Amino acid sequence: MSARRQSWGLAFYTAFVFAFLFVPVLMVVLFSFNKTASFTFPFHGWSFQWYRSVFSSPDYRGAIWASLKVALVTVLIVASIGTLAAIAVTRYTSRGREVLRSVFLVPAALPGLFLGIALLSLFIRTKTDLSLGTATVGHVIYTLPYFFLVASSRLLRFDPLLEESARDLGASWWTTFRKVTLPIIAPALIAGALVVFSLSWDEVLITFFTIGSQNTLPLLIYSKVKQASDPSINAISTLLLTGSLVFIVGVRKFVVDIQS
Amino acid sequence: MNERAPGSLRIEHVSKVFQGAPAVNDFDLEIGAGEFVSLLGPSGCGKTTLLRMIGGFEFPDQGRILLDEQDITELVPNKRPVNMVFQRVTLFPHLNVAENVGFGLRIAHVDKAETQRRVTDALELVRLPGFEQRQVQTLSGGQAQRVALARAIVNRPRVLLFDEPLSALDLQIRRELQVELKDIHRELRGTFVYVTHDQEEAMSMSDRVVVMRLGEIEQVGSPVELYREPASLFVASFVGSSNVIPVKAMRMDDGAIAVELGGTVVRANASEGVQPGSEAALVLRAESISLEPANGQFRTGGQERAFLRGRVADVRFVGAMVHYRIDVDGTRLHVIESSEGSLLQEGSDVDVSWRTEEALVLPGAPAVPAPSHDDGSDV
Repeated sequence: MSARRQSWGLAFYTAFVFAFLFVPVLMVVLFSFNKTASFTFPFHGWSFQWYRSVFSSPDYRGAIWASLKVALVTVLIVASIGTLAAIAVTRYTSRGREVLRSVFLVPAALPGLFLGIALLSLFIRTKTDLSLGTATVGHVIYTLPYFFLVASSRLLRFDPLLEESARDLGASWWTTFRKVTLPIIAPALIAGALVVFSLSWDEVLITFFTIGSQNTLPLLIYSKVKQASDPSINAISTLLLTGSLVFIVGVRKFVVDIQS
Repeated sequence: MNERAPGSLRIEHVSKVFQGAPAVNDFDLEIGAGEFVSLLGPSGCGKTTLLRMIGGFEFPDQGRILLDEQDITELVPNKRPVNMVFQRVTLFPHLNVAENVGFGLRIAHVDKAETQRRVTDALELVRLPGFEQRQVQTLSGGQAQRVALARAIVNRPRVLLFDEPLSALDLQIRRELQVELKDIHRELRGTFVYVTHDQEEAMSMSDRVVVMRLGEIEQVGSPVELYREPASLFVASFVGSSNVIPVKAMRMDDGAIAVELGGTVVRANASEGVQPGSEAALVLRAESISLEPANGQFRTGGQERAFLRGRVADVRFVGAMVHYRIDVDGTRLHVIESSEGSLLQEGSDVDVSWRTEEALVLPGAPAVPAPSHDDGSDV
């Protein structure tokens, strides 16, 4: 009897935890389709008006575009630098490899607030105008370690004899990289790039300090929440959530590829 | 093939030091075009380092490597008309079998039809016809190494290098591939340089075997020469199934030397450097020794034949051959005889004899008990 009661208790507890985790999320999704401008029950019926207002608002369109630009440029820069850095550290260092790897990971461990303030003071001192460009610099610094971690772990498992075989068969260093190394490590690099994109896409703290007068999407939502209760943030949040879910599924697929 | 078949290698006084320790030391060897040469030695003897220097993956500190009289010492791997089959499977996992085999041809911009034809030919040569579209992950270990061989052969290299390509395979598949590799060599008439630590592998396939030790050449010779006339104790104990027994050299006697073994004085051929009164080792191949049931009267040794009395300690029947361990006054002798006729019984007394000229005395004391190569397989 007590075992049975225990398992009931456990089920209740589990349900409670899941509810605690997901009910707020579901509320946002639900009320993004609400007919009226209320954030709380009762629910007045279905409509897409908040989505329409998101897509018709120049504020949102500008912010989405800014976020996309920053994220895509960040991904490009981080993937290039990160791949080369991972190759350098895993292939061409023997002594101090672990130390070098840890140094690369430090920016990820720094508090975002600290990184944001540090960058802001750097930009002020060098009289650099804050813009999407400076925000991108911040994102690159913040996301590079994550990409580096994924890429270097993959490269550490890469058999260097594969590259020697390619060289032996007549391929130059560059051809070997293009035709052998890159295709084999590509799934890991893509997974890393997806992680970088999603980190950049909803980054708030560093962006806040480094972006100046412009807005990325998360910053816009933040300011809207502070100003007034605009139900369109439910719609935009739901859009963000959908995007993130797509990314998670994508990353999972590539991670499975990597492990097999 | 034209008269001056290319592919002759000249390795001139090559030395290589790794972190202060010499890996290869003043190595000097000529390899003729079309020759199958094995570099044989225990791990750490420098054989793989030497092979990698021929392939261009390491560069000598001193000396030169010439291919058909052309200096290739400093050339990078992709500029050498030389291909290697590696120890581990190094097929490209993102390409299928045909794409793997054709990799070198694609790099060399050989046209498509020609590539396809040569890939098909190469796969036929390694006994994998029709494997073009297979994914490399579906291949067995033996098949994968065959594809790796085809991938090397297809480029028509002047020299093929092998870095223990069979060492990761099961014994049976290894033996099969050894036979095929020799056939392929016969068909291609190319120069093969083969690194291995398996003496039977080296002996059974090669025209010449280079026994290496501590980065230096211990002996170069045909398998028969190495087997019959080992130049040193190291070679004797590494090659073939020989008994290597510590003895005391007593006196020179007409070019032969008298040594004491199991309380009996026997004569044997003396190799250079054997001094009367010094430590020495008697090298006696297992199949040179004959056994007969003891018949009471004990014969003594003469000029022609050495006789000893022993007792059968162990009998192992392995098909065509019987392996005996004979205890001769505390010394264990390994003897191989044909299994025809009646076998000797364990515990019975036997007359042990061999022709004097079959026994060889080498200077120095055997450091360790000779490794047993007794049943022709290594484990």
